[in-house]
Amino acid sequence: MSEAKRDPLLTTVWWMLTILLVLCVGLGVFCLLAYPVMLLNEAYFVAGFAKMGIAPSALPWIGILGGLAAAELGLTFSFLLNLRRIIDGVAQGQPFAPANAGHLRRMAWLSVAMQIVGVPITRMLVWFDAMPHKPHVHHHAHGISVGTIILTLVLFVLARVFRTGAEMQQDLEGTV
Amino acid sequence: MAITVKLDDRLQDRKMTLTELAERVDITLANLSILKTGKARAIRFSTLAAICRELDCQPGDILEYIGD
Repeated sequence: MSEAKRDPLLTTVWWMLTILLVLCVGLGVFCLLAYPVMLLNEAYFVAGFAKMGIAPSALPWIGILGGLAAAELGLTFSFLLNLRRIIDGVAQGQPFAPANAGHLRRMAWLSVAMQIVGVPITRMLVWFDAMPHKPHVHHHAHGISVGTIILTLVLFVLARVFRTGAEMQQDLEGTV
Repeated sequence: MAITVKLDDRLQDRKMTLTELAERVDITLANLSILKTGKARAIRFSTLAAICRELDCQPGDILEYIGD
């Protein structure tokens, strides 16, 4: 990242991604630990849910939601990590490296996986939303975002552009 | 690659070293070595012209196509 420090934009994005990566880890750990903690204090949480109009039978579903959220955060972590590696590559003066095309391709597949995992999460949030004392959650009812689909397509195209760019770079380097 | 580079033969004919040719053609010794060993992916017309000028030969004297 020493080279990237010379570019304010890259440096800013690099640090923002680092903060988001840390947040992903923190939230992921929280999501994974929330359900076991609830089970350890089951009586307390069941009583609390009862006040909110949530049946005790919803407890396992909260566990599943936590697991799915942790999976989504894991995918997001991997997505952001790949993006940060691209920034590292660009900072080193080699944007059209084959590795960067690979990072973009992985990001595209990760965004597909994030969409797939996001569907049951949204369905469950809608279900929670229908409860009497619903939490204020804003989301798409179907769990599919048009913006994310476009992002995925853009990533696939960019991956192809980078792969071609990397091939051109290799040709250029092999020209005497 | 079906194209082979016969730079060694021409250098021997002219009793010239690779270093000397690199200086005359004004390209790095490393790049000329890449060309000589057949590791180059492409050659610029300007480089080819300079080599031909210094070795007093034609492109066909340096490059040879070998069919499968």
